[in-house]
Amino acid sequence: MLADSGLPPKDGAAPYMTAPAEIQLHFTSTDMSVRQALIRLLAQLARHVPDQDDLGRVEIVVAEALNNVVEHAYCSAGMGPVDLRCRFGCGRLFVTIGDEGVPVPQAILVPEVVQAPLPLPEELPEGGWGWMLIRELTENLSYHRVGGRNELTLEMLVSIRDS
Amino acid sequence: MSTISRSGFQIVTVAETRIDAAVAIAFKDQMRQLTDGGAPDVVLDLTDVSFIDSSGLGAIVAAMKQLGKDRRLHLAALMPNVDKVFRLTRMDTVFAIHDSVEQAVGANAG
Repeated sequence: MLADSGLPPKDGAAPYMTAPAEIQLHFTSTDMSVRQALIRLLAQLARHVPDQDDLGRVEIVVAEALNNVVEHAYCSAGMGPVDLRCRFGCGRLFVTIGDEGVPVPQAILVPEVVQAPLPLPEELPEGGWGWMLIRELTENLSYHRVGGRNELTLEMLVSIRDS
Repeated sequence: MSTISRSGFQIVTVAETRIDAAVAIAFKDQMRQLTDGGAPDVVLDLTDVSFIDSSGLGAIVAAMKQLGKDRRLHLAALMPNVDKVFRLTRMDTVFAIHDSVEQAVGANAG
């Protein structure tokens, strides 16, 4: 590795003056396709987002949102189509996830204000952290139910590599 | 996953690079098999794990609970994004977290 010169690495990626093009992925709601979609998304984002911490936050947030689609939106239907779109703007990354599953309960989208004390180790829950992670790592969340579809947009602050 | 005994500790090394919803149940089952009847202190070596989601975190919590009150699950060598998930969910206060397996074994030797 060369010393960090502050310049973008010469990895063959074409320099651009404007925001990078939108990234789109379409897949079926299974745990394995979520994993593969995340790996593909992160590989594409890494060309535009240099900071590992930014990429890490995006991976956690998108993973949890996609897990919710698999486990809750499509839980009764088995599986269904998922689409994911990413766009950059104003120092932010906007990730919109669409699915045709059941609506997201409103109560889940309301931010938790009070942090309850943790239970004893032997009484700890073995899940339920997904929305907590999403809320902690996003600047903004918006949810719409449009024509039988869920559309969740996650907004995160990320530094985009400029040329 | 593989396990060895070292200085009275059971070290369990995770061969996966991701502990996510796709492997969480299998992870929990393997942890049960590997740690059954082992040493009181179990160190989970996460050196190769670059990503964990809430399902994976749930599986590690389940593995801790499976050990029971008299045994302890230590976590070693967390990569930054794995560490982040533990901190944000406050699970870093529940587990003994060490920089490396060596440190986990050494810190508890005295």
